[in-house]
Amino acid sequence: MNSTIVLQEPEVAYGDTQLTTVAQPKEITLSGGDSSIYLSKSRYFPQTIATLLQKLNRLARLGENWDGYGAAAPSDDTIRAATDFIIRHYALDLPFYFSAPGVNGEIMLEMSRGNRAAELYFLADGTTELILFKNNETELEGNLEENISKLLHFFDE
Amino acid sequence: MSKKQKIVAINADDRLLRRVQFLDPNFIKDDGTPASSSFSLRRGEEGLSVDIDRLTTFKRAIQDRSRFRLFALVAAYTSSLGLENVHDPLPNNNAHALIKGHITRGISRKLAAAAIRIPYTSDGYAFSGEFKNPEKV
Repeated sequence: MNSTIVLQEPEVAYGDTQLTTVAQPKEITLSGGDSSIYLSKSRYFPQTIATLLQKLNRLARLGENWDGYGAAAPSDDTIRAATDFIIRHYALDLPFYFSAPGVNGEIMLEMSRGNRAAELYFLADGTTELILFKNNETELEGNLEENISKLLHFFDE
Repeated sequence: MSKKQKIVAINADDRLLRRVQFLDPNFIKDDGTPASSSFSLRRGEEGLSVDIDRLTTFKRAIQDRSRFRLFALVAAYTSSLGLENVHDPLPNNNAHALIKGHITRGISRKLAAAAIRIPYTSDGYAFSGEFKNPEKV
């Protein structure tokens, strides 16, 4: 099943002002069958975001036992959840930095600025985990649904 | 475990070597530090697999240099986090050990942040600083 997300960028660019343009609709096609992501206008994403989305696209191709020690492959739904989060929030000045798969089929998105960092996990069972760090000390541990507001403001402080 | 393999005590100053994948997928961030997820446990796993530095060589510990890089943790540091370092020799790897305990996401991040990259070049390991030990190549 294919679904298309059309993202209307805000009038004001919040994030990487060098590459973020205004009022440019972006069409992103998410393919359910093989989890391929086609960025029809990826040049409009900030480089960091485009790189993260491309990496997620590659992670979607991981098979079972991808680390040689029995790691579970991330499901299409998990990849899609991580991708959707980036696409829906990249313009809100969240400092997206890195993504990696986990051995239990999860996908981790890391945000980082100065001494603050956030790790957001999309788990294989559809739930999320959010951990906020200051100087690598845990400031908050919970899930995304209950703490989205704290995440959005964490890097403003 | 072979009957001939003796269990050794892990000293506070022992370095524990962990392989971190850098290719397909990459777990090493642009700043050179490994991602927390490379220091997390898979479901049902007893502990984080590491090799005791003094019982192996870097070449042996890395196994596949085209996929991995080596990082080292000092045993005293993992102990300070409430974790237990246990020698766990395998039939084909006497240096194998486990870092056991409640490894939360927060602990994984601390381990990743504290891990020291062992420099590597295409010719072998570039020994410098505390890792200068040519006999271990």
